[in-house]
Amino acid sequence: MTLDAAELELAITASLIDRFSEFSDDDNPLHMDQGFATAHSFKDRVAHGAISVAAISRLIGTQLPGTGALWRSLQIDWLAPLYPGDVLRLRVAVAQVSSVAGSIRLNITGTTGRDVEVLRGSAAVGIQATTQGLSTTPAAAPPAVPHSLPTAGRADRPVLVTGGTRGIGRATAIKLARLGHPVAITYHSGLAAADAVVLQIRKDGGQAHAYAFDATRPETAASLVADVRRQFGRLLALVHSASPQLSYAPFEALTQEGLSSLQTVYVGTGLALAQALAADCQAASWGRLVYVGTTAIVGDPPSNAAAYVAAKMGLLGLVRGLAVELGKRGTTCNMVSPGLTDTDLVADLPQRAKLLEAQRAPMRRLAVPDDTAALIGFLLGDEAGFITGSHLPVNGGIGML
Amino acid sequence: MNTLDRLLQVMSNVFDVPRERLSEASSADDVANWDSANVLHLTMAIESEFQITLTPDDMADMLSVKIILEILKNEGIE
Repeated sequence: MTLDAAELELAITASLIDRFSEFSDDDNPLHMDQGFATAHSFKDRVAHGAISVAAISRLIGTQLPGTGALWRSLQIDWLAPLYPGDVLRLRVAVAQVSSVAGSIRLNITGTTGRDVEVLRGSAAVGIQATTQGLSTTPAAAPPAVPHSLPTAGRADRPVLVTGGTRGIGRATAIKLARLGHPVAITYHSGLAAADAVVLQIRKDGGQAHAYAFDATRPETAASLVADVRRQFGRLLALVHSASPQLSYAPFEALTQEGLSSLQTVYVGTGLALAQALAADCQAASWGRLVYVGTTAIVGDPPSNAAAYVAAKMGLLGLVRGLAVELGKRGTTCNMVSPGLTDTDLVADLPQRAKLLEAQRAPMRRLAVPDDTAALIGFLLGDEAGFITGSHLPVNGGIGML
Repeated sequence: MNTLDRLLQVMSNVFDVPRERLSEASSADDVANWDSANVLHLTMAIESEFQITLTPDDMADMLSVKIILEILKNEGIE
């Protein structure tokens, strides 16, 4: 579709060819020697093809689009020679306006006075700084600030912490409540533990509610989030730390069911929760998704944990995929990977393995739940709004990225 | 002598440090001669003292007294 066009005429003269040859040092006898040119079946000295390119440059730079143009590419076919005495009539026409690329595509044609087509081509031209010469408004630049700046504080940003009754989830729920977030925690079977966390948060002056949730059933994530919304109005942040009890086994002993179960809890429910939160995050142009990973996926993984490592690696893929798509909604998505943390989750791990892990860490200790909770607290703040798609180990320096 | 005392005595001999400078909290971080060459000697000395056979993994893991106690525990020596 032609939106607009511009034209110029350029008289080709022997003097012009001489001047171009002097400027470019292209003194090929085809251009410079009439006898040589005619001996090669041309009727006269042949004008340098680049002379027509110079004329195209003038059209683009001064007329279409003119001031502010940034010429990005040129494709050109020379169809017939230009001789002294010819008049090159150049025409550029807008063929396409791409707002998102801030660019226009121009079709270029060149004819002589005898209406012989001598060249044909196309060019891409950036138009950041001009609309001159265009009959439509091109290149709607993205807004300077892609999403609204937050005006709410932490008290206006409820967070859902899955697996919030034990270990890292519990420490995170308490930490986030202290920072001012209303906190929804989920529990699977530990109602008493959930109550204890809620009571502790309320005693500290925070807001908390506990919800029964089976993280092996992603199809129930939407109704969980709906319940949280009924209590807190909206839900803008998620910390997915729920995990089944870990068992360690050589790969020969792993089962498809065991592998699927881990993948469902981490990746399947992780996705379902993100889907359930997406509408609120979009409406607020603000959101924080934090997934709890593991240092077992940093560097060489431990043995006898292949299913766990596979599922958490899958979760990292989810985190990166979500981050790419959620950024334009002002929503970040990250994975926090604690080092071996002495919690119920790893109660079955031999003491020797824990001691070794601690002794091999540059910081010479195992992780404690608060190490991870502190980072999650930071990630939920406005200061962390440019951190997304990141994999952040909290592991005392073991297996540095 | 209990297991810890026997172990520390072996380590004192191998590392050539006074027994009173070693404790259950000692590790390669704070015992001067606790290096890979001496861990080889320590492994052989422990095998001899406790009449057990250790594996290359055991040797590689010997980074602290607590870890060695766990290794001994695996061998049935509490």
